[in-house]
Amino acid sequence: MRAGHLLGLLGVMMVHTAVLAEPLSGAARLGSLLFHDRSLSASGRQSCASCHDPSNAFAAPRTAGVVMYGGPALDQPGLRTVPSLRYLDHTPRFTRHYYVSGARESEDRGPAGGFMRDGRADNLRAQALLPLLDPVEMANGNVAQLARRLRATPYFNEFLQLYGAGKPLADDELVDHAAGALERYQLEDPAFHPYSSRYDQFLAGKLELSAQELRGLRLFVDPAKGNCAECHPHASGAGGRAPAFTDFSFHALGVPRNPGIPANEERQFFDLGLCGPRRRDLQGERNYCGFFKTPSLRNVARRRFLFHNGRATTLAEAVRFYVERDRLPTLWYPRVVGASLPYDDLPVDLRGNVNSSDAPFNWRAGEPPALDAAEVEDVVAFLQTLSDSH
Amino acid sequence: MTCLGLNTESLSGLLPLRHRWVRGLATLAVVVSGTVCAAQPARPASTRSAATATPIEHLIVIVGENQTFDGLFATYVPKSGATVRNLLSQGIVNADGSPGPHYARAVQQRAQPGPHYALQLARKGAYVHLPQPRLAGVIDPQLRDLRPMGDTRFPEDLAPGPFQITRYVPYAKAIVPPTLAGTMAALSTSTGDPPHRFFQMWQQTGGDNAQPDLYVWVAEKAGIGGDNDGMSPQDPQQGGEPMGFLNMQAGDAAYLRALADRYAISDNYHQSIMGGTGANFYAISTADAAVFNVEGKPAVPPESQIENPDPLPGTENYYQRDGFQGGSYVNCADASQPGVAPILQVLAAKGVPSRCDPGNYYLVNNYAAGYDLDGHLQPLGPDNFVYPPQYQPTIADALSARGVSWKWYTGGRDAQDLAEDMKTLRLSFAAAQGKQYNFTGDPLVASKAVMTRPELRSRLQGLAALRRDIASGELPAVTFVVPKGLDSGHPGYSIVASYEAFLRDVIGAVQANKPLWSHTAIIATTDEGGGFFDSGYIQVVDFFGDGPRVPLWVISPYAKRGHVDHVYHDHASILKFIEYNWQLPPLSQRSRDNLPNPEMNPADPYRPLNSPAVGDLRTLFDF
Repeated sequence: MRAGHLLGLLGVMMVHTAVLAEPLSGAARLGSLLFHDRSLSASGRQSCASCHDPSNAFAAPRTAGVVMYGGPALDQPGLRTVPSLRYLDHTPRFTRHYYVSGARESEDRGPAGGFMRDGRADNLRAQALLPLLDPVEMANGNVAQLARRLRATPYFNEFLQLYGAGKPLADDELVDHAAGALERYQLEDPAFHPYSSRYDQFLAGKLELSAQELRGLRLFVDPAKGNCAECHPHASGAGGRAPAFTDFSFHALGVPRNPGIPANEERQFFDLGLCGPRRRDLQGERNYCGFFKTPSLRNVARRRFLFHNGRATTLAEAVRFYVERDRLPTLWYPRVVGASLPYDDLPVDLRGNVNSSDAPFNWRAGEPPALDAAEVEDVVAFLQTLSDSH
Repeated sequence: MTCLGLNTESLSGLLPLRHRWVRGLATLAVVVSGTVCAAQPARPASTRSAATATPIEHLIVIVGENQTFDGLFATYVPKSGATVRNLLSQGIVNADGSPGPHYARAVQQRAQPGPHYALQLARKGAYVHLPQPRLAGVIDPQLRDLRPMGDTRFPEDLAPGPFQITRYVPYAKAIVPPTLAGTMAALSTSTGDPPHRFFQMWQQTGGDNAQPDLYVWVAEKAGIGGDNDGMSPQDPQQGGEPMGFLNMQAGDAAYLRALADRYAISDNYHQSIMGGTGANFYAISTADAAVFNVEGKPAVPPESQIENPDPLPGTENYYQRDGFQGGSYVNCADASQPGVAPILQVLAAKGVPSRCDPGNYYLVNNYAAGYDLDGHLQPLGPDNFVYPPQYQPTIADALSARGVSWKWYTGGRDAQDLAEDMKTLRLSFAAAQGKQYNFTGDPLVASKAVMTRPELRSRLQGLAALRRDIASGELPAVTFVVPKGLDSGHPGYSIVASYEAFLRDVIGAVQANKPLWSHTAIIATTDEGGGFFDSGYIQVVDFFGDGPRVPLWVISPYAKRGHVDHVYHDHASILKFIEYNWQLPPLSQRSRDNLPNPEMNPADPYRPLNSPAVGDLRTLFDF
């Protein structure tokens, strides 16, 4: 089938994906230095790039475990898998109600947006400081410590030239400028939004996908099959933007507990996403507990650990979770006295928050699978077209 | 039981109620009916309002969605023999919906675009056929979105002007009783949703609608703007939808027609703002337009949210920045801003001030309000499609300040309203609310004064509360009523028959409470015309509008029976009536309710001699 024909079928519009490589601004160049600088961590051995590997789409290195370790001795485990820093350009500020254009002129997509898996940072500038100051990551104890490390860098003069106009910079100003420089780097450098996947080339009419990949795309989109595009839009967005493969929405998927996360050794501990423990402003909003932000699926095939807690380790397993969760719960959740204990990564009283209305999560026990084994493989084949070329 | 004294519907026909009223009708009821119906219980003191200037003690304003006057009343012939200006009376169509002797007056033209947004566009010649209508925004009876393909129920060779929708897609059977299941089934007759946005509508009408022949070209070329999902310059996803009309001579909208025969309508009532829901609802509550601000001080919105209707290079008329997820604000005091100068030129030629304050970015299209229904402030930003809390006075705070009771009832506002939807559709509260609650048409939620004062905010309620208040007689003096989305009449996700069913239900409930009905006026209208064609003159009031005519009924024992009112009115007229009846001053120095009543030109009753001027609706009543 011709690519153009299929695009018409799916309602996909041609998009302009070309990212013109303009020279980086001074701030962005400074941000690049900061991003790769291990001296900014308490351990002296960890930079932003240590966990956001430029050779792996700015997600965790392929060799890393489910969570990264940080702190002064690099012995403090993280809580969640490392998100990719690619394709964050149009992330809205966190909102309880994300209004977008839709069939009703506009529709409310519910809670969405913000940076980090719990959306607690409003923009990349605010986000940049969180790992730098986090005791289990780069572990600068406070702004003053971070400022001291910044002043000791060989490129500190660049700060003074860019921001100081010859005058000294106070600690908080210096740290704020560093955060701003990291933001500029991520916004400006095409490495953070290359749009160089086979799917992008397919959208531009430059190549055709294989029969299996096209089948996978159809299953990915079809509301009666995978329905993946409901939250991971595959078509061009407002203003002809290339598809981000996320709508930034938050959901509780009921992903099984991952015993591989050290924090989970404590049976009473639960990572509840929007309502804590890392995010603190929504802790009273119980209806949001267990909600995590929908990630972009671009470069998902490069991840060793999928979902916020890394419970799936292959793409096929991740896709199967969506079609098996409520139909075959014993495959996914521990058995207690003969019955499975669904949604075991949430306290019992919060399990009602789990999304069971969006297909294929609305398929019940005993119903045929939304995707059979061969179809799961087709979807996986399609997901592999979303990896950026090197 | 007969209770003649309070059945003022019959009374109004029997008694010469023409003296000037300075007391409420309750007084009359006692005087007239003291011996006839002494057993009638007194109304609780809590619902008594301040003295009214007319017998109307309860005003109920019901606002549906998206019909123009000609779209609905195209072929209406008043039973009373009154004159009406519509497609039939002007010979544009015949009673059977076919092209009439003066069809050419409504034939659509193509235009020759230039490099910038323009209103004076050279015509390139008429369409031979309308582009086939599309399924833009249409949902099916299972509430699934259809893809905006050509709507094959319509032929590809429609004549290049108005066409009768129901010749191809039948008018839905009456939805009685008005259940969700009945409404959903009727959605099989829903049709495509034309664009209805600010700069598009200025272009379609040229401001005064003197040459109403670009409705289709603008719709087809500009669409609803590229800053919406799925839009592209290659395909703005629109066809000939704007030219569709219903045919009352063929039996369409029989209840709405009967209301017109029995009570009063206007054939010169207008949407206040060019464009869509958000700005028009805002105008209904403020007679003004919302402003981007930080804590009440005008500010500059994110650049991506400022309208730019200049055509994208290489396209005929596809705007550079437009759509829900992009342009929505305009700094109209600055003639150098995109799209502003051509409109200011029209205003200058007519000698009309713009009402644009320097440095103010006005919201002319849809965004969601700065608070959510729980009162949380909503975040702003280039990728958050929300406008900040508003500091302008609203009719709500003005009524409260005067001690006059009010409520604003919107369908789907609360869980009680959505119980049936959640059960039938097996949806969560949030999902059901997303389908039914009109969040761009709930302007008091944008008001800081209303949302931060519990005694005001508690007056924002749902339709279950409306039913209770009507039945109990606890209805406030002034109420606004907004149906659920599926009942709104908005094309695509609703149909006119659904709005008809909703009106029948509410009007029936009010009439069933005879003490209430006897001194009530129900004003039913639509927020705007939805981008449908209308042939009527439009008065250029300021930069923001007016827009085309929309339907308006006054349903009351005091309505002039079978009257078709030609006096010029717009949404500010509702506020002017409220202010007259409850003795309130205009809302602000700059609000449109300051405009004078029209001085009528006997030669052309539709155009005020003292333009800009809008009436206060009293000409539709017989007091």
